[in-house]
Amino acid sequence: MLDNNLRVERAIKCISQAQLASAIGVSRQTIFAIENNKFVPSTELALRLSAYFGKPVNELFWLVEQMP
Amino acid sequence: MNTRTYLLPHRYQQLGWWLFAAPFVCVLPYMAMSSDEALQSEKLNIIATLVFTCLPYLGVGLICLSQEKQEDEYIQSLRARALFAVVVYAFIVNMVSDSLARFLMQSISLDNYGFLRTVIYAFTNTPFLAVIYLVLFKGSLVVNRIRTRHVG
Repeated sequence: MLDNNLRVERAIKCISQAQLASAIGVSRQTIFAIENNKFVPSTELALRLSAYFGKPVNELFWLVEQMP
Repeated sequence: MNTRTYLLPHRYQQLGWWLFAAPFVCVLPYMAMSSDEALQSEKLNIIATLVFTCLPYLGVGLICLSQEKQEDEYIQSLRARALFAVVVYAFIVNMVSDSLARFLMQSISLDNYGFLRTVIYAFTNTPFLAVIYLVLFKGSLVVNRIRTRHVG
């Protein structure tokens, strides 16, 4: 399972979901779904987010060990 | 985000909704015209078939095959999910109904199962499947919009 700290990064930058969505060219629903772990973004979108926040991808997204 | 897609532009979806709504708009004028015996003709029947069958089918097709305003990878994942659900539904309904029909034919010597085939067709024809797809896909979009409405 993939987790992320997009919400935290967004709070640090003081931007809304709508602002982030328009900055990287996706819909607001997409940001909401990523933040709530309902959608795993493609590599391209992850790299766009990484470039936008100026942080490596693995600081924004990481794997969470699932109990067997 | 420029996601590669083979769907039609968004404006075709608006055209699709208009075509889909055509029967609802035309039902009252048609009822008035068809009750008048002087106006009953072959031409009216052809127009009725066009308005009540062909246009909504074309409309549903256009809605299904055209992009949303902002088509991105999440929207496409919702599309894929709805499409998968429809494929599973069609597969199960066809498989169960076909098995049932064969069972009925064997067990109670039912020779003519035309009625059953008609019922099966009604629930597995392409326009009906397209409507299920639309309900699932548009439904998930609406649910997402409601959920994100009050989030900053």
